[in-house]
Amino acid sequence: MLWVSVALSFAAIVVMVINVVLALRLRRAMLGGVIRTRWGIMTNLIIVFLVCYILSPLLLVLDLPIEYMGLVVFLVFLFGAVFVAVVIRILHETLASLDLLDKS
Amino acid sequence: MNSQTMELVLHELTTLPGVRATFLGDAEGAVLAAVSRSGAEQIDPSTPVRSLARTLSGLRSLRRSSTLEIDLVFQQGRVLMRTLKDSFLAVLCERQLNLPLLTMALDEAVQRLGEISEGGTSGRVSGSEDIQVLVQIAQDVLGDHAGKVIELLESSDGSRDELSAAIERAEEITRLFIDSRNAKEMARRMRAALFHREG
Repeated sequence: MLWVSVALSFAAIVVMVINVVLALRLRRAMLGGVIRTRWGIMTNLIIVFLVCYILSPLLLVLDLPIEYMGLVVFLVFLFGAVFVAVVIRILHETLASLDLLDKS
Repeated sequence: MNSQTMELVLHELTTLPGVRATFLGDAEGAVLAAVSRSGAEQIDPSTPVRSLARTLSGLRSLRRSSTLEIDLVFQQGRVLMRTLKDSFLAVLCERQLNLPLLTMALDEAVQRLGEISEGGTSGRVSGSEDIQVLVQIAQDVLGDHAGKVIELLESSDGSRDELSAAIERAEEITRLFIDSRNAKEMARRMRAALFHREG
């Protein structure tokens, strides 16, 4: 069961590394503006996620106290919530700038 | 606009298979240029141009964009239309024809007519002079990144209301996607330039 968890965790790390590369590329391609600043915040959050993703299987393999794992999990939850908030803000501003929001 | 050059563009369109006539009209329904296929029945352009201008005016009131591409299909033919800054190009053609070829030629013609309009001499393009001033400001402030803002300004029909709305949108798009620090300054300069020219 432990190795299944480690394998899943490894797959998650691979996907997250790809996400970091894509996010950095997109940030470099953006001209500027508020959206680029917000995308910078999101990129930093993605890097934090990657660090947490790497830490979690290590905690399992090294058999460290469960409290540490709880800390990592809840950190991911917290930053995940911030990430979602930034995504909603970016989407709202983008749609508003395109005049695609119902004003009623 | 240079009417001879415009007629040359229309003439090239009219030589395409299936095209009966081409018209260039303004928003008020006045005929700026018209060419009918040689050897075919000559068509009086005034009535269709007036009618198409009214259709366009109605469609523009429904749609925010000033750039429209319209394909009207009738029992005995079809009319393809493209809007320019303050005029429109209409092609009267057979119902069945090589539409992709005609669309390509039409797009090219619109581009050439736009270029003629920008370098033109007619009083009809006074609105485009305001646009050019605003485009210059956008280029000064945003440099190489001004493309989207210029596109936005050029899609306006040149009227004061549309230009004011375009400046507002340009400011918002610049703030969000291009340069948040200079967006306000660019919009302020554009509004000042427009006010100055109006005065």
